[in-house]
Amino acid sequence: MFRTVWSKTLREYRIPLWSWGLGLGLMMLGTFAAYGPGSNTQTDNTLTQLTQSFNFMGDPVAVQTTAGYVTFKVLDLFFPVMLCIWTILAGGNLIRGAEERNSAELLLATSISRTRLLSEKLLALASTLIVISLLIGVGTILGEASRGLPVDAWNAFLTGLNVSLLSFFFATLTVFFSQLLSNRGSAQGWAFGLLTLSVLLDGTARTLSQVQWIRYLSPNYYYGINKPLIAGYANNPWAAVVLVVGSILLSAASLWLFVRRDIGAGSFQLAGRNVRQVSQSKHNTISIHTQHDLSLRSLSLRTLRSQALPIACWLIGIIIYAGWVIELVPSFLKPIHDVLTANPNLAQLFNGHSLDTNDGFINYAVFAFVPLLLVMFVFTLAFKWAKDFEAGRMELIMSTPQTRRRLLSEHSLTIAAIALVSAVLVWLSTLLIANLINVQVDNNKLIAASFGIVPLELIIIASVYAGAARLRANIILIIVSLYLTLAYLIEFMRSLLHLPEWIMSLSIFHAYGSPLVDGWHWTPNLIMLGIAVILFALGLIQFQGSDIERGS
Amino acid sequence: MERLIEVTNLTKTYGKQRGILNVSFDITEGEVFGFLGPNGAGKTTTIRTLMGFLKPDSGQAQIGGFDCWKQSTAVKRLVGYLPGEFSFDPALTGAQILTYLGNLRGGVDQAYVRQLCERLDLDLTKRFRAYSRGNKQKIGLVQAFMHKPRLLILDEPTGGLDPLNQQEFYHMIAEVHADGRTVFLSSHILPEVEHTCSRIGIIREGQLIQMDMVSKLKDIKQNDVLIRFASPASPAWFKDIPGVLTVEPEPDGTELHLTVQGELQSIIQVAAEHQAIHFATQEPNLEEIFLRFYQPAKQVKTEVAANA
Repeated sequence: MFRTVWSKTLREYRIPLWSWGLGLGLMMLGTFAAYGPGSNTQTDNTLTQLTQSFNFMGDPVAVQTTAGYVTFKVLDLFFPVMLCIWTILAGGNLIRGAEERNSAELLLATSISRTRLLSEKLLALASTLIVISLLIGVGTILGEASRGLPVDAWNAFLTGLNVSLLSFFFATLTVFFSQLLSNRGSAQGWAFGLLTLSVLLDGTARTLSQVQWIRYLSPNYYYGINKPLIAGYANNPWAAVVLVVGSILLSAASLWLFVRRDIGAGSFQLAGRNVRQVSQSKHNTISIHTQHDLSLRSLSLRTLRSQALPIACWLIGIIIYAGWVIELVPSFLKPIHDVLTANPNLAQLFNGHSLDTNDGFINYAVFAFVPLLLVMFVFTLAFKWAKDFEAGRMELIMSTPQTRRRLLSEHSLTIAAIALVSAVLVWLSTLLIANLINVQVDNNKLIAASFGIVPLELIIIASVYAGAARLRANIILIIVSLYLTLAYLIEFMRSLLHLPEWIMSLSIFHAYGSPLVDGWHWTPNLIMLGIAVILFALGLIQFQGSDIERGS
Repeated sequence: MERLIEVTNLTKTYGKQRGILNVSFDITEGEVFGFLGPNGAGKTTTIRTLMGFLKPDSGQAQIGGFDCWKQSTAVKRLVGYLPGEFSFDPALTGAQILTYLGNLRGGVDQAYVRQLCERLDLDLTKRFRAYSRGNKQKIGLVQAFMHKPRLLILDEPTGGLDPLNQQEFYHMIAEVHADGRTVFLSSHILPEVEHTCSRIGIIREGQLIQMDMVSKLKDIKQNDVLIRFASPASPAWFKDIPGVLTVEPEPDGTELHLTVQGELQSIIQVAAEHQAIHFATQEPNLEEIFLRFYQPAKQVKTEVAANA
């Protein structure tokens, strides 16, 4: 694997390849297997009507068929966005990350050309995405087989390939931004912004007929127009060609910029961009402003300041999502109630959730998903602790007279406070929006649903600290990601899997339950809080007794 | 003078990898101590154990009477530390980094910080990610000096500095010394240690092999000795003599090339017993002395055995 840049890069992607490929493949299998409404005209019509109301999230085509339903439920939005998140991160790391780690200089000090370096790295990313396509295809084939449907291996592979094409487009877009900007975080931030814009443009064009033309500006449109899984659907190969050509053009532009710019600098970097504009005579004094900067007073304040932008983005995104779903309640409740009364089998679509009340609908549409988002959010914040230690960024801080207990406590309490604030914001925003559009919600149960997320968050935060003293950051990432995927999947597919209760109880999402419907349950929450405390104590003990690595 | 650093039989290993083994030394208050050794010899392991970053497997290290592991916070109040390699939040400017670390130390004299920055010509307006290696080193030096610590622990402090800044650094060390404060610095560079330190320790393969005043360096020097005999000579005549490190026969068989540490009296005596007709010694320069100290112990022993 160390013969070429291509094979070495492929080796670096082996863990995400298997994690994403198997994760998405399994999810595809699960979605197929979970589909179980009986077929009658009334059900089909209601389902079509329901999915039409959700057309912001996808284009409902043949949703009364298994393939159409699976396409709408996971392929239209969920799969491409999830895989794009990884490819944007990978695209930022591809060459700019290597420059930041100084490994690009070592590679370029050999006889390898810049063109070849970037081309081989891009090729490795494309190869990885092809394998992921195959794994999604395998999941599709197994799903079709599990439903007793005719297996179409070629279209199953094309389904995965379509997801990978869009993801590769966003990867090349990030690589392109990383040529223009001098750090990978900015490139990834811009790419994430454009991914969000692309989803919004595509969804808005589907929802509002007056502005349908804007969909042509969205790469997601060229992805969503093809639905290889649905038999008889008129696919448009030219749309895939648009994505391929777009990716090639972005790659070519990146290559063109990469061979012309300075290593370590962005193409559009202004001279002295990293230098604050101060007079030359003051360059080695510390300004009064800096001396009085509150964020430099302690580790907790510094942590808060350095994470301010991601915190704001995540929380605003979650609040917008919750608000949008609650806004749908008045138009959805009656049709859902009617269809569930007419066909109880349809409830399986919603994993057994009761949807014919305000609380039931919001519980399914908001509180089945927001806990996962918030847990992922606080994990990214806590994970920085492990990353900073591994990178040696804490060495100087550790040389100041701060006890290890204090440093860990300051960092973890800051993240825990953010977790608490996020729960408060979810509660207040849901309550406010519900009141604004006259949707009745039981406030006590809403409090239970919002604050019930906190123990989940605390367990995940504490598990990072428990592992950070002994494990590499990437190992922690793999363990926690794997646990979250499995924990969410077994809860997501609980009506299908029929796992023993003791296995289900290992999932934090199962322990969370449906508090907006069932109210607050002390026992699971106290147990989760207890586990979080134990994990945190373990982290503290480990940290106080462990060696501090030098960093890399 | 009071002993500020006391290290007793300190051992730290990393699984099967070597760290340091039974290292013992004392450093008195006001001393400037140089810690020399090749890469991987154990210098940084020793320093990071003193800083309480590594837990010793056995033995003890104390600074100012405080145990370096159990009372590391008290130790850090006394110490200014420059790591051999370090990183920091790449988005912070030099000014922000110094302010942050100063706050974590409970506040520092801003006038003194400004003076240090001016002396090292450090631009504080750049972000950490934009600093060159030398400028990062200057940030490290300023933060180590800025609270006027009782003890400075500096791991290869001149790495990346240009000659002008190196000179300035030597002046800073001299001032700290004149102020009665203590410096413990590790280095590869012999002239730097000669220039700044009063005493040195040499570590090799995790073991402290020499510890003495710089002025007594001559005592650890090794002599190259060439002896010519009237008839073919055997390395075995000399190999068991204390102080003989290597014995190499020259191709014609009548000459032996010895490396000897210490007095030559025994060598001269044995050479005379075997009818030596020519005896020449050459005093190696200091660089050669240190290169020999840096050679793995196993290699030295093998050379003697093979030649015998």
